[in-house]
Amino acid sequence: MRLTRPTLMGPVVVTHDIKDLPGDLFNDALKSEVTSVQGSETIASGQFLLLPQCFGNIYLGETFSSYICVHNDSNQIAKDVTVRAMLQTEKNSITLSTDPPNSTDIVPGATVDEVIHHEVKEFGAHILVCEVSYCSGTLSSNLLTFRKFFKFEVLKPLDVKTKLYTAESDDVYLEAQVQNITSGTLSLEKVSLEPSDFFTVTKLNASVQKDPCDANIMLSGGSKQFLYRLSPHNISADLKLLVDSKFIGKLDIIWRSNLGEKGRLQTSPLHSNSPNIGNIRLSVVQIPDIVFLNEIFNVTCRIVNTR
Amino acid sequence: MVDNVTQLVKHHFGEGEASHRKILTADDVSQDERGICDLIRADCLRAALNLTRRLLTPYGQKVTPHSVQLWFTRLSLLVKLSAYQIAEAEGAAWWHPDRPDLYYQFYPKLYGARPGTMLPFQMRLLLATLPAYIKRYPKALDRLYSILAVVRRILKNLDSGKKRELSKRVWTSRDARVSHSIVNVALMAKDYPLAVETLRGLIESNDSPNQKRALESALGRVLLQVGDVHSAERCFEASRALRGGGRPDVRELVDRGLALVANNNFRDAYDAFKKASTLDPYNIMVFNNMAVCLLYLGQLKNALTLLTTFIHNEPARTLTEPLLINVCTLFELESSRSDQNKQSLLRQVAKYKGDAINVACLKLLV
Repeated sequence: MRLTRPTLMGPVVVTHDIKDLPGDLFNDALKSEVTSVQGSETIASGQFLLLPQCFGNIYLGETFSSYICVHNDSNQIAKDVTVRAMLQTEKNSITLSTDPPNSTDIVPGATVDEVIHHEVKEFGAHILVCEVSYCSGTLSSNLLTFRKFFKFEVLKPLDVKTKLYTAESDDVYLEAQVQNITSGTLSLEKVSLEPSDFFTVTKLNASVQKDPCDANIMLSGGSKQFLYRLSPHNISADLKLLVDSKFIGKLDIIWRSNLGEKGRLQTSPLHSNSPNIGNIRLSVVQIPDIVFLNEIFNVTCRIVNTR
Repeated sequence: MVDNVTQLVKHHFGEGEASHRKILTADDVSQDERGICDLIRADCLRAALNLTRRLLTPYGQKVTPHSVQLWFTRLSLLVKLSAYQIAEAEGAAWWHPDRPDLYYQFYPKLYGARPGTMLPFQMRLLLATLPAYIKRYPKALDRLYSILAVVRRILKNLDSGKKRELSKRVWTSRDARVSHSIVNVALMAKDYPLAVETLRGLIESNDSPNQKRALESALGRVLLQVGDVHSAERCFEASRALRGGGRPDVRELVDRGLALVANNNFRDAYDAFKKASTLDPYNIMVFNNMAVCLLYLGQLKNALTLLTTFIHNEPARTLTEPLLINVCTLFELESSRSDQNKQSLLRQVAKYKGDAINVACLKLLV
C-alpha cells in the first residue's frame, strides 16, 4: 500500500432550526459525528485522518513511501522469510529494503512488515518489485521464491520557464515562472536561486511588504513569477572566465501538498545569453541621467582586456 | 429505499441470517412527523425517507407550511444518505424565489395578511448547497451569496433599538452560518483561496474568543490541506493564544498532532493524539488518528488491534462509516484474505446499526 499522506475528512453538514420538523435531531447527530470538530461543527474542516484510498499520482521530487506487508495466509509456519524491495526504472534498479535482508520465521496469521521510502528522481515508468523467499515448514531446505510487481508512472509536478536579461552593468536578471501542473493544489515552500561562484544574488520578489497571514496557495494550473538580480563580483579579474562559463546558477524549489506531502526539485543549470565580447570589452560605468545643452558632463567608461 | 445492510447480509450469509436483522421500518411507527423523528432517532434514515414519501402523497402539488417541512426533512435525509442526485432533482423546484405559491400572501383566505415566505431559513440554505454535492459549485456559491446578501440587508435594516436585539442576534448567527456553508462548498470545490478568505472574514468579524479560537483552528486545518504548513502553524498558535491559561484541550492537542503529521513526524504525532485520548477516552477520531500514525510507523498489527478492540468494546457507537473505511483498508493491506474480517464487521453492523449506514465502507463485494 502506498503511503501518501492521509487526508482530513469533514462531516456532511445539514442543520435545522429548533422549530423545524426534525428539531435538534440532525444538529445533535452532527455534533456526535466522528468527523465534526467540537466548537465548529458546521465547518467541514475536520480532524479525522482518512487513509489513502487509491494509489494517486506521484511526481518527480516527491518521496515514494510504501507499506510492504507479507502475511502468512497458510496454516503452516514459513521459515527463513526474506523480503526484498527494488525499484526498477528505465535506467536504474534501486534496492529499497534493508540489505542484506533479515530472515525471520512467520507463523500462520503473522506478518513481516516494512515501510520503504525513496525520493523519485526520474520521470516515467517505475516498477516496484517485491521478492519474497521462504522455506516451507514441511519441506526443509527447499527455498521458494515469488515476486510481485507494482507499476506506476512518475509525472512532472512543475513547469519552470526562465527568461534572462543581461544588463549593461553585467548584472543578469532572471525571471522565472513556476507553474503547478499537478492535479491538485500545492504550496511553494521555498523558491531560491543558488548562484554560481561568480555571482551574488538579490531576490526582487520580497520588496512588497507581505501580509504575514497571507496564505501560500497555488491551485492546479496556477503559476507564480520570481525575479532575481545576479551581480558578478570582482568583474575585471574574472570577466573572461565569467563569460566563458555562462553558467549562472540553478533554481531550488520545495513544495508541499496535501497534509504537508513534500517535494523538491532543482532545475538544470541556467546559462546566461551574454553576447560574445571579443578581446576588448567596453562598458559604461557612470553616465548622468540628464545633461544640459552646452554644458560639459562626465562619463566614466571601463575598458577591459579580456584576452 | 431498501436497507442495504440486510441485502448485503443476505448476499454473504444467506436469507436465514438476514431474517434475524431487526430494525424499524416506516410501518413500525406512527404515520406522522413523530414517526419520522422516531425513525431518525433510531438511525433508520431510509425508513424515515420512505415515511416522508407516504406522508407527502396526499398533498400532491399543494404547498402548506406542513408539506414544506416534510419536504425539507426529506431533502435533509437524502443528503445524509448521500443520495445527492435525487436530492438535487427533487430540490430543484424549490429554489425559485419568485414562485408566488411559496408565500403566505398567495393564500389570503388561509393566512390572512401574514407576509413572508413559507420556506424556513435552514431549508433555503440546504437548497442553496444542493448543487455543490453534484459538483455544480458555482451554482451553489451563487445561491449562497444571494442568501448572504439578503441576510446582510436585513441586518442593516435592524437598527440597534433594544427591541431588536434578539432579531439581531438571530440574523448575525445566520450570517455566520451562511458563511460556514460557503467555506464548505469552497472546500468541496477545492477552491482553497475562497475557503481561507471566508474563514479570515469570519475570524475578523467575530468577537467571541472561544469562537475565534475554533475558527483559527479550522483555518489552520484548511491550510494544512494545501500544504502551507507554516501558515497553518501560525493559525494553531493564534488559536492557542486565544485560550488564555489552562491546559490544552482535545482539539488543540489533535491540531498539534496534525501539524506533526504534516512534518512527517508520526511518532510525536502519535504521542499528541495519545495525550488527547487521556482527556477524552471515548473519542473515536482520536483513536483513529493514533492508529493511522501506527501504520505509518510500520505497526499495522498494533493499528488494527487498537481499532478492533475499540470497536469490540463499544460497537453501537464506534461502527461509523469513516472508521470502517480505515479499518477495512488496514484489513486489505494485512492479507489478501481480508473478506473474513470484513464479514465479521458486517455482522456487527447488522446487529447494532440502523439502515442509514453506507455499506460501501466495508469494501465487500456486492
